[in-house]
Amino acid sequence: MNYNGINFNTEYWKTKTEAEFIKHESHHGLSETQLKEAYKLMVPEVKKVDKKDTVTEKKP
Amino acid sequence: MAYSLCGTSVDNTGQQECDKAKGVLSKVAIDNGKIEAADYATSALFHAALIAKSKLSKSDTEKLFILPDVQEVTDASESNKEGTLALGLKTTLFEGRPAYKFKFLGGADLLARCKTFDNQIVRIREYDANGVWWGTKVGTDSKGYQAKLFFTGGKVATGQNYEEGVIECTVSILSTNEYYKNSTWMETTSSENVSDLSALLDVNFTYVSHVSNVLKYSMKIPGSNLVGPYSVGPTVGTLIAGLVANFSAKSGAGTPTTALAITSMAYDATNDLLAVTYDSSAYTSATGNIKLIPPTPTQLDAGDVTNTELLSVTHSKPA
Repeated sequence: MNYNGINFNTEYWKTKTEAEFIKHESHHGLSETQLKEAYKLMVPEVKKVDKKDTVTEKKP
Repeated sequence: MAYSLCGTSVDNTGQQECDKAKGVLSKVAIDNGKIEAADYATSALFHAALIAKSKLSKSDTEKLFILPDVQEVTDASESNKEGTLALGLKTTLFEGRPAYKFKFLGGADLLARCKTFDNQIVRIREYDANGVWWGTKVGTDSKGYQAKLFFTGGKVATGQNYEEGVIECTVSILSTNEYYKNSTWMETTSSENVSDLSALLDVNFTYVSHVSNVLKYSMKIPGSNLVGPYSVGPTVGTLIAGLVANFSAKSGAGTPTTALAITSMAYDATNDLLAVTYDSSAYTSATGNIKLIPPTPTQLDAGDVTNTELLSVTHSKPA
């Protein structure tokens, strides 16, 4: 994924944490905010399932 | 002769309309590989197979090398060997080997590249001015004719003829059987452009510098210019960096075999270098050599880096 001229290896970073990414790729000169944004673009947050939406069987 | 045995060894001599004959030579392709039956079922499939072969790495056994447009062709075949009897009967004893010379335009660098094929036994496909590809068949595979090539050029022009930048290739066909008796052809349609076959240029990676686990490489076409090789960075450096997912790397002594992950890549326009960031942990523990393996020519082509073969580089891990 290209972010501000830097091409990050998406497949590699998919299995790593945001903290690892920021620590490893800070040498490119991007700010922490930018690095966080780049990470989110590569590894989108999985939306948590709301408990209200889940169906539970009522006990008789 | 009433009691002829010819029927078991000869063919009838009828001819179909539009029976193909070789036209003026237009292109020559060096192709030591094959095209399988499924890929010559139609001219479109055949054309697609040729294009795909032209975009392979030069180290691939199926690689096809296309040469520039032919500008002049002259027959250089050996004459047939004839024999006579004392009372005057003259007959052909055996057929002379086919050979021809063709000229195309190219500079000193292309000549040097072509001369790497001098005296090599290769297979060639011929493309004529009627839009027909010619070759032979081995088993069920379409193949080029076996031939020996020799390239000349680079002489000073005399000013008397068109000589400047002219390269001449001598083609010596090895087998009259393939060339005369077992030639096969494939007609191309107007939608199949022979110019779609790509001639690739080698681009060397060279390690230049590093800061920690970030290594920088130059990307240059070797050549005869004393000032130095031609850098492709300003033209396609950004596009090459964009293909980070198609790069890989290894580390280890001798020929590296341990995977070394690449985490990011960027084109450093200021220094005209490709900056490659390796996984810091893996890089720290790496010993011996680092091998950077670039995308294949097909992957480069898909990324708009056309007519290019990036060559892998192995270098000592910098201290």
